Formats: sequence, structure tokens, C-alpha cells
Amino acid sequence: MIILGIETSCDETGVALYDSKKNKILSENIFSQAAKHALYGGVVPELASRDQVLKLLPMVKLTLSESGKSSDQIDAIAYTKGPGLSGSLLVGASFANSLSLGWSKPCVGVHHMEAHLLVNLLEERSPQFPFLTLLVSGGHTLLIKALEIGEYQVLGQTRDDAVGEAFDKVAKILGMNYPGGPEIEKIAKKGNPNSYNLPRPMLNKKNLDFSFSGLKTAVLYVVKKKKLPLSKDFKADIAASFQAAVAETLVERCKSALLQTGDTQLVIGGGVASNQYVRKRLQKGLQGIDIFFPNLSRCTDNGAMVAVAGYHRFNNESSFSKSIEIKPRWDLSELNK
Amino acid sequence: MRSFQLKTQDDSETKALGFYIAQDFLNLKKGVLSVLFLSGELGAGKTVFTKGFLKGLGYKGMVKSPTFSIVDIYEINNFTVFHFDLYRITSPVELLEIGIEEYLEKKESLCIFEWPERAEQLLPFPDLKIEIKLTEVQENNSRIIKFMTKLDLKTLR
Repeated sequence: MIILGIETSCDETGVALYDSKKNKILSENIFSQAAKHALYGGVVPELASRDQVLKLLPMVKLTLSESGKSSDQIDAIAYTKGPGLSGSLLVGASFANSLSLGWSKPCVGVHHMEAHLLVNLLEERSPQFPFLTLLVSGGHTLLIKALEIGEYQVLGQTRDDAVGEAFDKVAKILGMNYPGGPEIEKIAKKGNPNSYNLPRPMLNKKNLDFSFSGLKTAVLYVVKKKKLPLSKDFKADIAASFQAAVAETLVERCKSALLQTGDTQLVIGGGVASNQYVRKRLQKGLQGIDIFFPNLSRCTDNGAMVAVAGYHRFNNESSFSKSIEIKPRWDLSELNK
Repeated sequence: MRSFQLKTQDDSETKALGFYIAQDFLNLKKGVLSVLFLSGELGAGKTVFTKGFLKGLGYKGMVKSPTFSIVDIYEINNFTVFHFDLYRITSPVELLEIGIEEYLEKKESLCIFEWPERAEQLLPFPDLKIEIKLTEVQENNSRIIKFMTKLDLKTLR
């Protein structure tokens, strides 16, 4: 089966073609890449970041031509039905349903978070069900147990800020541009992670939830006591201390979750998984556990994950969408049978 | 428009204040509060206040920071709260793309805006404006909370 996946739940516009027989993505584009290909005749107009209407058509054309497939070779279309921003979701949903009508191919709406979980199945070394997933990004901090396709248990989540969000906001507090998460990692290399004693929020609690807002505020208090401009050494030390607090919290939470569920496989997804320090701490702290770090381009929002999830949804229930349907608010647990 | 100022000692007091303001709101005539602005720097406690506020409205689930999602939706007894965070909005045009009018026009609803300054020209005048400020460094967790409103809120009397 060849499936076209379309992702427009928030900031990104992602399009991909998935061949289920080969379990391979034939071609894919995320907006920034598409811009490089000078789709707009070499001139990229000043588009607002969510101008997804203008982006989609040229991106689908490009993805098709890169794969060498024509529209009649496509078996189905998958789009993100939710959760997300209703305006953004509607663009993808109406576009997918229009293609479906025009091409006479079935169309299915998928759950954004399920797509994030199932994209792991694309990897050469992929986990076997059941497995545990830690999803850490600018928008999510989730510990999910995937029992099988369509059967998920959210074990823990953030009660305030997402991990990536905390990174970005601490960067801003230190005078860097938003979002500056990756800059924290860079500057922290020169700092001492033990120089400031920052809180490890929630670690005293028995549940598996996270909280990073208090940690961000703790950094703010330390910064407020300093005279401006902040010195480079200070920034390095506070960034390193912050990063260490985050890493320790993630390691401890994963440890408790693994103990609780008895799982031995852990998938770490999301943009924060690209932080090498966090990676090392997780590998060191969770010895004996089979840890999977999926391809980074698949960690952030993309069309490939939607195509893969769409394929599994067709397999499972062949729920052909009959109307343009979106669900801006949609709990993952609602998918369970 | 009247202005009131209160001081809270820590997060739990800020949350409790949000709770009581929400309870006052439940006693007001329907529709008098449909737009709420919530200002303050990063780490001031805007989301903390909102957590208490939603609890005061009767919401039992988890209330997260909407920075990434831009708007989180809460349904409470046939009433909808849209919790916006405009921090990531760089141009007001983006708000139109998101479909801001549709949220604002919804009946039986309240729109809470964190970082309203990012798109003030597109937003209606708020029925309640709240500013949260950090106090002197020595009193870490305490906050000065300023309210500006025409509404008669019992907690502020």
C-alpha cells in the first residue's frame, strides 16, 4: 500500500509518501526543506509561519515527483485529525479530503500522538510491542506505554511546561533568542553542572508526572540576583546546572516507569532527544534497558509519521472518513478499544 | 475601570487567588466576563494563576502551559475556556490564520490571553486585566498581582 501523509497540526507543514510493503518512506518534505527547492520560482514569499494553505499543494507535487509516483499509484491519504490548532488542522483535513474526492482514493484522519508513537516502526532497529516511550519536545512531555497498535496508556505527563519549552524559556531568561534550547546545550558544555543547586521537581512524588515550571522559575531567581550583563561563565554554569536537573528528572522518571511496568524497551522521541548530554545521562542511568533513539527528523512533527499511522489505521478499522473531520482536543486514551 | 492590588506569598497563594476570582466570576451575570488578559514576565506565575482559576470554575483535570499549542481548550459543564498563550506569536496575522474570531465569537465561553501584548490590536478590550509582578529578590516566591476591571469581584472588595 502506498499512503500519502499530511501533517498540519501546529507549526509544521509535512508531506510524505510511505510504502508499507517495503516499510519505507519514498519521499518526504517539511516546509523548510521545500523552501530550499525554490518551489515559488526561486522566490520565497514572506509567508506567515502558519500559512499552510499556500504550502501544501506545491509540497504534495514535489513529494510525488521526488518519489517518481503518480497520483493513481497512491492507495490512500492520511491526515492529522487532531489534537492541534483548529485552523491548522482544518487546512490539512480539507486538503486531504479534497484530494480523496478528486483522486477517488480513501482518506483517513489520524491521531497526532499515535503517529509520533508509530513512526518508530520505520526504524531499522525498531522496538517490539509492548514498549515504553518517553516523548520530550517543545510541546510534549509524555511517558506512554504502547501495548499494541491502538492500545496506549499515558503513564505520566507534564503538569505545566514541556521539557523543550523549559529549555527555550531558560534560554530566553539568559538573554538568548527564543527558542534557544539548543544554545543551552552548547553553552552548558563549558559550565559546571554542580554549581547551582536547582530543584528536581516532582521527584519526591510517587506518580509519574513531570513539572518543569518551578525549575524555570528557580533559574529566574538566580538570574535576578546577578548584575547585568550576565557573564559567560555564569551563563555556562547555570545552563549546565539546569540541564543536569532536567536530565536527572527524566532518568529517574523513566526508571520508575520501567520498574512499574516491567518493560525493557524504551523509545526516546522528541526534539529534546537530540540533546547529547540528556542522551548520555539516560544511557548511563538506565543500564540493561534497550533504548531506542529514532531518527531525529522523525522526532519533530512530520508527514512520515502520519502516513505510517494512517497505514495502521486502515489495517485496523479501515475507517474511511466521510466528512471533513477534525478534533482539536483529543485524548490518546480515546483511541483504545 | 477600577484597579486593585494584592500580594501573594507563594505559588499556592497565587493559585488560591485564581480559584477565588473564578468563584466570584461564577456569581456574576452570564457573559460579563468573556475576555481576560494575563500579563507578566516569564516565570511570573501566569499559568499558576490559571490553574487555580480553572479549578475555581470546576475543572478537575490537568492545566498545562499552552505556549506550544497556543490555545488549550477546557470544557466545564457546557462552558468553554480557551486558554491562549500568544508568546510564540510574532505577527498578529498569525492569529487570524488560527481563526481567532471563531474562538472569540463562541457563546458560553471565556478567552484567557497570556501575553496579550503580542497582538493587542486584534483583541477585544478585556473585561478583566491582570498583571503579575515579581517582588524584590529577597522575597522569592511572593508576587504583586494587579487587577483592572469594571466588574464587581467579591475577593477584591
